Amino acid sequence: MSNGLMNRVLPAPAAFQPLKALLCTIPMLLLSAMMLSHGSFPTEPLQRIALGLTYIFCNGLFFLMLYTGKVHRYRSVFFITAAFAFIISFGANLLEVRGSMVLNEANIIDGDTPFCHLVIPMVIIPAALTKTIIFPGTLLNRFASIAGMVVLWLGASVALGRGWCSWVCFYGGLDEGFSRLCKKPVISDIDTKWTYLPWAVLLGIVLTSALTLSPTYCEWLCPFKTVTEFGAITSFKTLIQTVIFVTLFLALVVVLPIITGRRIQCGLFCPFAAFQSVTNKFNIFDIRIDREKCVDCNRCSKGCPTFSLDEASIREGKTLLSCTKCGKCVDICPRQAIRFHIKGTSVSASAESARLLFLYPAFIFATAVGGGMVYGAMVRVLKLVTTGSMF
Amino acid sequence: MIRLKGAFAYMVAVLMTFVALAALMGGTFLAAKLVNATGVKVSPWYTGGEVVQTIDHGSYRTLIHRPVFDTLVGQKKDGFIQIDWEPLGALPEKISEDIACFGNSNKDFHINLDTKTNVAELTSYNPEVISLAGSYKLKERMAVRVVLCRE
Amino acid sequence: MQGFLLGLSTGAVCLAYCAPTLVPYLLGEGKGIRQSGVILCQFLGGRLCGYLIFAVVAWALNQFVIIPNVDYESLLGLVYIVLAMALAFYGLRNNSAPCAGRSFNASVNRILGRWPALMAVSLGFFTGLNLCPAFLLALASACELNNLSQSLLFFFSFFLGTTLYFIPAPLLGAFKGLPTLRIIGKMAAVITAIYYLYTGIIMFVGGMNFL
Repeated sequence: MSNGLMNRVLPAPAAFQPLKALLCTIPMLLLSAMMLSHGSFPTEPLQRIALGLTYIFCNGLFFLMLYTGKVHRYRSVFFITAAFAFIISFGANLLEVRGSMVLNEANIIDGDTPFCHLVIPMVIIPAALTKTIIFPGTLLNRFASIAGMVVLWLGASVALGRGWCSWVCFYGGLDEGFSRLCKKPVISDIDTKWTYLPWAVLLGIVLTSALTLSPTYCEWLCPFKTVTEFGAITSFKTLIQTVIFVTLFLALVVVLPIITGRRIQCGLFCPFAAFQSVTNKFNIFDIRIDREKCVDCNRCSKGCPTFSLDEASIREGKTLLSCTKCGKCVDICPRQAIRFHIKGTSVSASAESARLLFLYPAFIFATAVGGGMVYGAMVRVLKLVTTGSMF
Repeated sequence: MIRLKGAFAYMVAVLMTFVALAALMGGTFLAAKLVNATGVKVSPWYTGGEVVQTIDHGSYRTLIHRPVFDTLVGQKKDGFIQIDWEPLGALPEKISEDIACFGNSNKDFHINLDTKTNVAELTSYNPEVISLAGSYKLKERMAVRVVLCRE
Repeated sequence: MQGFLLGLSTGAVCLAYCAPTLVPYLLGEGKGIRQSGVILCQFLGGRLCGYLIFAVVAWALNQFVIIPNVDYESLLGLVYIVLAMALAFYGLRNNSAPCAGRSFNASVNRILGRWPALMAVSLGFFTGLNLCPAFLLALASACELNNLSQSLLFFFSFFLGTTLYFIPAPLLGAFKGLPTLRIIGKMAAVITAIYYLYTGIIMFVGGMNFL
């Protein structure tokens, strides 16, 4: 294939006319209003402004996705913003409620620890055998309650499969943000053997969590403790844990993504990601490659943030099980050979419909979870700017 | 057949939007149903386990939890027991109390707790009562945890 | 009979304690069901050796009162460290070793080439030496026996009772068609090794209680 043909990038495969894009955005305008406001319009002016800005931000990006056909480009803006907003809103919330981001034993006994989805693989065996959840949270009726998060995860897993990792996860955007800092990756050749590491970590933490009846990933390996809540350093053990958290965060979420241009934490370490991959098996949406159009340029496999494409999978016209449906391969394919797809339909069936039908549930979850974080962070920032305090 | 399969696939794909809405809008309801259906609880290693005895002191109460030795299957040798005092606002400045924790009338240990400074002292009457794990000022109560080791 | 019944009633605990070592190992070997059964037998053989050593210890505890002076916490810590090293070695063995380790790697590979069962037996042996709750119950019961042969018989029957719970383990061999599971098993062995190494060091230097 000559370079000339390769470089002649065709227009985005599923770009909509402005009117069509606008019409397709209308359902999202209504749904996002419901998701963001929770049915009541805030009374404080600052909250109103923040809500309005978040609303425009979310729906603007959704419209742009449809209008330009570039899903990854605008999803990425949203995803990264939501992740950084999460740190601001979560941290500020902890400071307001608990007075500190440090988790002490009293918070644990009181069940004051917000439950996050990364714990889910670890709690399954103990829950099945002992009917107890090995996490110091609250089952119901509180922010990030255990059952509430499990329901959210179940719904998203059914609707999106591992799409969770690129549309809902509030940590993934950190990884993605840093991975986009360096235009040209310093390291591009990564041994595919490392893509099995998340499975090994998953196996290790599931077994050790069942053995110790404590969530070992949260206690020992979670890099995101560095920017969310962490145990008070009161002993040698907690000191070691903190050193591990900070080291892993710097290595897997900051440095390696910058120098490789990939989501290293999500693609090569996160055990939840491995666990979530299984949901791609039964999810109706996937990404397919039209072999008739594909010229084997491998741009998609080189660009995939989570190592979900390799030469063998491209030959088969499919992504690997770990695909997060971020849409990057769809965006960057110079031949428009890659597309969102509904299982059970022909690969040559309408890419527009498949993409639109995937985008609705994906963006509903994204707005409800990430949009809520953007709104929360915006309120805090506006308060800080206008009153000098976040609270 | 292929067309039927395709139509069914599109229907399922449309259904996913409703799944998303149900998970988000009915989240609270579904979460309560899930908890009721499965009967799960938070691990006693975090909550302290079920309260098995309540001692009424008039203005305040002592809550004695069951000793926790739970493992994935069976029980282990090392564990703890949690004692709570509530309500927080009505607690006397000093609490001094004998506790029987193994289900018989024998006093197993004595606790002195300064509710103002949150400092506790343990006197053990039973070799299976090892040490004080910690004393905690919680939202609505004060608590201590005592390390146990079964012979 | 008493040992067998105790083994039957607490065998699930033994399985839970052995699983972090056994599961990565069986996956890492990537053998079929039948050969996984052979590996399990080797593992259990090693575990039986560990148990029988404890049978002697239990008997000695009853005979000579001097033994309680031994620091069991440190001893167990040491066992954990050796187990961690065995697991880590297993996980990293076939990978390219750093230069300094290459000759060591080669010589151990030679030994394992001659006695391939050695790895499974030693992993079984060191997990057998772990003082899991079920095992402590058995040890306490065996301490009441005066006769060495009775103590050995008690631990042997305890071993038989617990072994029943391991029978499904070779079914992991059904996944032998997935070659990636071998890599995952080996990586998981290294991760479990790190966990045991940390636990072992902490126990060795002064017990978990100081943390």
